[in-house]
Amino acid sequence: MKKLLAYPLLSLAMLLSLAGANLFAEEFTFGVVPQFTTQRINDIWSPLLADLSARSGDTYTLTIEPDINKFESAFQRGDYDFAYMNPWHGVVANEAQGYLPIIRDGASTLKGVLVVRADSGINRIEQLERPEIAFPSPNALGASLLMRAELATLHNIEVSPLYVRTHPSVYLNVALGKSIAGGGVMRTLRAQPGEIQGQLKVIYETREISPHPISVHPRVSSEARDRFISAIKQAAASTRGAALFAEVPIQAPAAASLDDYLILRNWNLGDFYVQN
Amino acid sequence: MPTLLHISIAISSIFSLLVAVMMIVLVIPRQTEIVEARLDEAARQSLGGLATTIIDPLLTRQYEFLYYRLDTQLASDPTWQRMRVVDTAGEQIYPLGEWTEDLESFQTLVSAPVGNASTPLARIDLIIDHSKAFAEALALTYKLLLLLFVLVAITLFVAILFLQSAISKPVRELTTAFKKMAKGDFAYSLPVARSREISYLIREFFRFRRTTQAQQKKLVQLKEDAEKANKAKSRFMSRMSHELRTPLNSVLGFSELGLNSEKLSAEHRRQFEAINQSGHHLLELVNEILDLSRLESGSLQVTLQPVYLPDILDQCQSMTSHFAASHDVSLIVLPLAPDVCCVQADPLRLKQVIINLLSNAIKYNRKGGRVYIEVDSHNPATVSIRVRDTGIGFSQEEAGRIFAPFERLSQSASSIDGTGIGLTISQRIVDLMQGSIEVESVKGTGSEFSITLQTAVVSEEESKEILDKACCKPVAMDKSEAPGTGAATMPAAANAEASATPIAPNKALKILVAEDNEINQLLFQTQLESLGYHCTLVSDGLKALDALSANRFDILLTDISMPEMGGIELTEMIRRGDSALADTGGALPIVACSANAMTTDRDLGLAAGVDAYLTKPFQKVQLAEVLEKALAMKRSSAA
Repeated sequence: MKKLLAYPLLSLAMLLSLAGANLFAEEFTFGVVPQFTTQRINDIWSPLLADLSARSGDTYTLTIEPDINKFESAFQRGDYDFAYMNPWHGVVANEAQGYLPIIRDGASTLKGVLVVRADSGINRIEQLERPEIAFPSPNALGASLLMRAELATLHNIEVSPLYVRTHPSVYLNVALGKSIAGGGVMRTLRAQPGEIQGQLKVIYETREISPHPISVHPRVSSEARDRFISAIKQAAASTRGAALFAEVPIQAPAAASLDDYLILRNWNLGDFYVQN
Repeated sequence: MPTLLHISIAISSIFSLLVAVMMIVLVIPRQTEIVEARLDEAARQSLGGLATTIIDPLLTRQYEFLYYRLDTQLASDPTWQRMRVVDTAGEQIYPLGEWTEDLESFQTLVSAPVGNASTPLARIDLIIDHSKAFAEALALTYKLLLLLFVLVAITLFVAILFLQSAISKPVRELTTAFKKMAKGDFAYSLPVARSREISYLIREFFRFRRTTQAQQKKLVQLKEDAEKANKAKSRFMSRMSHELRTPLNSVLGFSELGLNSEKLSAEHRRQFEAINQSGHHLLELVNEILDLSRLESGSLQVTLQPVYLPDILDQCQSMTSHFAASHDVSLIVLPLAPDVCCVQADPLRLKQVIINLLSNAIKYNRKGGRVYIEVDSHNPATVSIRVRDTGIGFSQEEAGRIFAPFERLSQSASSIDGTGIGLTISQRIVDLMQGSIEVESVKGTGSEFSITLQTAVVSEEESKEILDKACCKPVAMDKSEAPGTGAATMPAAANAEASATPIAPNKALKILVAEDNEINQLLFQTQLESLGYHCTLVSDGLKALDALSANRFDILLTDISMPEMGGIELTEMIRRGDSALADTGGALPIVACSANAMTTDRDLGLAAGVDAYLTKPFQKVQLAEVLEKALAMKRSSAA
């Protein structure tokens, strides 16, 4: 009897999915790590989420926190259904709420860089005399957390960090000579205008890690998760969608797993993680 | 002269130009100044606002935000050329690249402190470029100017149109109406007035035209009346002349015949002479009155031609010499300058005037006095003929009225016969000949009359021709064309000439006389017989035709005014040859003898085909000349 009833229901579901319609449209919150000014984050993510919403039938609402601390608090409370975060966040969020990385950029890796002014005459980290180094924020993974951890643990260099919120601010501090050095990631450095890049040079690179994941909260149904992944894949295949992803930046969306990021636990990043 | 339309267009253009110049010279620079000040102020305020927003990123060194703010600000406002943020240490925070403070035209540097004014964190400099704003403002101003221009142009155009229709057009039409009126069109429609002034003008013109039309009508009427009256007068003069001449013809003719009689006692001779002289005086009077009336009516015409003076003077002298001799006065013609010979004049009329002056100079002279004729030419363009006498003279006051008609000077003058219109006629004739006549006199010493005429410029050949012509003596018929000249004026001379003419009797000449007046018939007969001719007398034209068809005649003497058929009609009949006339009808010499002395009568006669015209009263000698001519014609035709 049960079987008799299951068949038509299954057929109906298949029919509906074939038609692309979503009779069970849901609303989800989407958090983004505030690496840039909120304005810029909005400029990048709003059109992308609107595109994904149109493709999946669900609604993804962008939720921006003014700084990284608030963002960390938010995902530790489990505020977001989906969230774009740094790799270390991915690990922390998994531990706190069980968030699972599902998508990451498959075309690049994350690597922290230490920059100085090109004309400073400094070529090695050992030449850094003043301890004050600009970082975006304490827990920014490549630029700050990994960099500080490596400088301290691998090179035994003590730094006095100055947090200036964003990567471009770090580069500007160095370029303007306000800070002797600054921590960033290769990807954001390459995104700077030539005027800034021309004035900077990289004197140190951290080990590579997988780039920022989009993690999903376990309360999101597997169907909704699938619809999300499918929408991302569709969008990445379209010209407009690919352009929107490039802004994030994600060159080629690919599937991510928790395993991609577990290595970070071995690097004692926790000692350098700044709790609010 | 410019029209109202041209003036209005010129004024409008000048006005528009002035407005444009004022806008460009006065308004636009001031406007630019105001715009600049306003823009700078607005920019300064904006910059102040912007400065507050970068305090936070400046303090926290979150430069991306600062850059983002300033970049977006610069991107959003095209007038903001570039900005710089310099901190208190003098280090440039923004922009990353080089900074230049050189200003181009329409660029201004505006600065604002960042943070508290007393302890600023930094200074923000801004260079604003107003050129675009100015360009826009200027474009706007020019648009406004253009709009103003168009508005002014439209307004003026409408005003000009109005002016055109309200003033120019009606004035033009009124001008046409004036012209039409001048040509006698009083009905040309008047324009419709669109303004009060023009309406007054048109109304007044209308009244003026109506009045003018009425006056013109009146004038035409008056002119017609005057012409009628003048015609009536002419008719009267002609009639009177005829009526007076007919009896005068008898009086003079018979008294002349009487004087020629040899069986006359001294007593009777004196009486005949008195009759003859009075008759001549009466004839002179009739002739002169006739001349005066013709002068007044304008029917006396002169024909100007070059006249050879020496000959004219010679003739005048010879015609007055007897008269002078009878008054015991010497007539002296002073020798002419060789270069003076011809004047522009009518020869007959000039002779009439000179003879009149000469006869006056003789009449008003004293016994043994002298009369000089001299010709001189002080001015090559004119010639003066002077008649000077040693007579009684007259005063300056008298000289003023000497040319007035019927004015006779001094008590003593009353004893001298004359009509008192001779000088009036002379003056008018000289006027007609485009000359002038003047008089100078000293009472008791004498007087001098001078006629000034225009010199005739003639070639050598012409002067020769004139000379040749002048050599031929004018015939008696010519003399008769100028009443008041010749024999009539000089009865004594005429008598002398008449008695001197040799009578050549020729009974072979057959003469037909058509004359209704019995006394004149008798006179004709007596005169012709005394000349040695026989004649056949008939009393009217019809009887003359009968006589002509019955017999052959060599000459026809006919009166003009006759019962049944007049002389003109008779001549026409003969010349047409439609009656049963002898074969010589067409060639028959016809002499019209009439008391009608008016030129029109003579013209009518000549047009009808008469060969000669004798004005009654005529003298026997004139009759003799006409007959001699006719005889000569007969002889030549016979040959």
